[in-house]
Amino acid sequence: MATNPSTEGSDARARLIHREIVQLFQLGVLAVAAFFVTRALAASNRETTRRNGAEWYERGSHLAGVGDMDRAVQFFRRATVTNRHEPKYVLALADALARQHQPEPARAALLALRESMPEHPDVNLQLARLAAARHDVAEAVSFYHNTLYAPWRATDDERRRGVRLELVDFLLAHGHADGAIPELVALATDIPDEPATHLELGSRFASAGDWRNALAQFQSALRQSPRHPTALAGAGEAAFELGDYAIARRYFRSTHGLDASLSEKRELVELIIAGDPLAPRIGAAERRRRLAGNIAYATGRLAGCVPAGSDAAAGDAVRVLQARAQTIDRQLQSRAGAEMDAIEDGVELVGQMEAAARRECAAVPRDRALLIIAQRHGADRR
Amino acid sequence: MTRTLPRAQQLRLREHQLFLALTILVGVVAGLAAVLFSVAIDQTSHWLFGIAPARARLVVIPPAMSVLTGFLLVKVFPGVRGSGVPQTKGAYHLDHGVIPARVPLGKFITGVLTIGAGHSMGREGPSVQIGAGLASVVGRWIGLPPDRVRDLIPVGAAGALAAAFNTPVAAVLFALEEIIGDMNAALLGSTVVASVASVVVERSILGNEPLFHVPPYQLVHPAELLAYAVLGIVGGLISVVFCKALLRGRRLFRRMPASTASWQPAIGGLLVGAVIAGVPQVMGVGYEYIDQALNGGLLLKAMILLCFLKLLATVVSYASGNAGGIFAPSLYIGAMAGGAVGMIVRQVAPFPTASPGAYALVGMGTLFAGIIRAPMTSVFMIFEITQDYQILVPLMVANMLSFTISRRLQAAPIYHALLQQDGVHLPVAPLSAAAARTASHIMDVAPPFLDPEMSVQAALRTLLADETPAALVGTAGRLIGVVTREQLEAQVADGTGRASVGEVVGGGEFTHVHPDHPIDVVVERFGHGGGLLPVVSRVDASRVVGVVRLHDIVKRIAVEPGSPALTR
Repeated sequence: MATNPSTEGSDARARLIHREIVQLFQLGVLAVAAFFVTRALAASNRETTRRNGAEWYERGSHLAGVGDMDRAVQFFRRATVTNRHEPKYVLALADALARQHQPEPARAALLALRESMPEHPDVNLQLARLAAARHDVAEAVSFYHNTLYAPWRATDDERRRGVRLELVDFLLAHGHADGAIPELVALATDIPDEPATHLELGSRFASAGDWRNALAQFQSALRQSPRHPTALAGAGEAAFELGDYAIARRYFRSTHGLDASLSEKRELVELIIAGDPLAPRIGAAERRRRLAGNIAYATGRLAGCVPAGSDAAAGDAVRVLQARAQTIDRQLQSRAGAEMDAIEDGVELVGQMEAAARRECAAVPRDRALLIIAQRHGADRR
Repeated sequence: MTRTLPRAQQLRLREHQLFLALTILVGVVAGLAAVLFSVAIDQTSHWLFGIAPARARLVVIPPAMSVLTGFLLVKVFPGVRGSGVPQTKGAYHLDHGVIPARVPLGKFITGVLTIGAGHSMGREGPSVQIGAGLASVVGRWIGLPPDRVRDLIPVGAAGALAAAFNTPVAAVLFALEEIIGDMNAALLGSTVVASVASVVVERSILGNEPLFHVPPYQLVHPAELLAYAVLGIVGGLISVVFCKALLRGRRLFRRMPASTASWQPAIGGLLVGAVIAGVPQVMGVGYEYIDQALNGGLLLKAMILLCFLKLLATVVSYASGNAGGIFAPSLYIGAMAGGAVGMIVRQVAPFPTASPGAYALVGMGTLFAGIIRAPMTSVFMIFEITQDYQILVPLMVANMLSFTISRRLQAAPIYHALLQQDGVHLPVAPLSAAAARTASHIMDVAPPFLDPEMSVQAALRTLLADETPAALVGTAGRLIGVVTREQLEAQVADGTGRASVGEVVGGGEFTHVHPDHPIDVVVERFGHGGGLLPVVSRVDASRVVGVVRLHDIVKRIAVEPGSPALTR
């Protein structure tokens, strides 16, 4: 039987293809087996590398402990190369570098780690501290906030409060009280009700100039520890700054051993309360007596501080004030006109005379007390 | 209704599908081999040196291991010394893709022992040879025809390199640029498939971790490009020093008596041991220290020292005949040189600059471009490592300068030069260019024409008088056709000698070429052209721009002094 050569060729080609399919299948099976063998070996190698990294980290930690930072950095670096995503290694390296005064490499290492762990609190905290060290307020605040809003463990609440306090201190040290106050307010809702904690917070509110919250914190501390001297002093100062001199006097009088600044404030409080002609719940005679005393003192201060030989303009101003003082003095003695108006005018005049005297002389506590009285009631009148 | 393909067409389609499947499998196998090679080197190194090796161990292990590998390289696995890339090129261009099975096996064993023992060599070149070797073995086992086996060489090489570097695009470019030597090669699709398959395997085993951890960099100031240009020049010069030192060192070892061949790697091992005992950062592949340079972990003096010592150790390791590559060392040297330049620039430049790590990164590409002479691979490799577009412009500036300087000062690329030392002469770039020479290079631009109205007898007389076998009929602006002497003689014999040549030609189709046709095509068509081949315009085939005669081909190609055809 005659055969078609073309068909024969096709059949041979088909057989060849069939054989190739079988061979490819065999090769595929071999490749799968090789894949699993290679994967097992690679896992074993990874474990070796992991152990090496742990060993280098231990050695580096030991060297850092004994102060050999150069070699510690080398070991920490080797550890980080074995496992770039182990935060422990990178944090140790960054810390060692920062201690070696190499903040830039430390920052680079942390930033690299942060790419894979953007919410790791310690990574963000270290970055915040590096930024704080170079006074980069914006970056430091950003990383501090990343730290605060990172997912902390429930047991780490105290650490988180510590970080917020650290941020507050950083902001206060850099004159950003406006930024510090919201952090303190947030902190106030999140602190345990303990005197020490209230005192810590109160003093920071005071440093930020938020006297109302400072007073509240000191008072919270005093509720549990009524004789705590720091709390009493703090509350007194806060009340003084808020202009609540009666409360301030009460706290100051309960306190002993105040520092110079607070002693002066206590003296001022006493002088203000004793010398204020417009204080509530005092009689008309007492008002007149206080104002007369204040005018006499202010006139004397003005005469002493601005001598007769002063320049013409100053001399004229002084003479005008003295003339007004004599007028008010006469009014007080004759009890003519609306008495309260005269007393208010007198308080204002004393303030003007003290201000004029202060331009020439250093102020003593009574001067400051009179100025505070004038400012306080001047604001009321306005 | 479905249309059934003819059986022959079906079989052809099936063959293409099988080759595609084979390509994927070769990529997988090459990738596995590269991963295994890397893991084996790490394990060997750990086994030999531990965590913090004593100095004595650093001195003793490289030469001791080289005694063993020297024996293996000479007696058991000849042909697996050095990088493996030149041998792979040789196999592709000269041996029809045949790489004996013992080559990938031998390369694996000797490479692991050599690099694991601390020799300053890279694992990527050997990976390329192992991948290509496995591809060749598989191709022959399947029973592929020789040209198909040859096609698998760059496929296996790309697969192995993609897994070794975790850079699939750079691996494809390397296979085209370096192994095949033609960026327009038809094997682009196969190498891409193998590269992707290999990287998938590699990432499924090792994870998608980049080889180097690089912080984001950017061009801080436009004037910084000048600094990168300086880095390109420095990198180019270092590349030349490296290549010349390597070739000279190798020549020195080759001049030694043949009986010392087994011991030469150990001699290199002794020198390398002495170096790494003092500066262990130089040993092995050295990726760890590249990483440190990229992340600002090294000081200026350290980087300069490491640059110099790595160059020295690599030259000694390679020249003495050990099995290992120069990819990783070139990246290492580049990172150190770049980092050092970056630090100096930062101190002296009047404009703000990027951190030295950025320069270390560009330095890696610069040295790679200068030493390996694969600028496109270099650019894409660094881009794939960083995945950052910002670095591309400085990288290209520095790379091109380095490449240009290296090419100017070192005539033959390093892999070609290494093969030439072994007496192997690959087809070099000028040959490819010759293949690209076209009809326009050899044609006579002022050919004579026969008037179409001329009688056949008169035309025959003209051809006989001119001793030419054929003539163009028409004018330069309007060619009617080509008439041969045989045609005219046949016409006269038939008694139609008074007819016009225009009638004989008849305005039908005639064999021709265009000015851009390569010589190969010209020669092929000349055989059908009756001894005269018109060169016509592509936009108007009746417009003649020249003519090619036999003596044009012979004179312009075959006997031209220095013509590539002579060396082909």
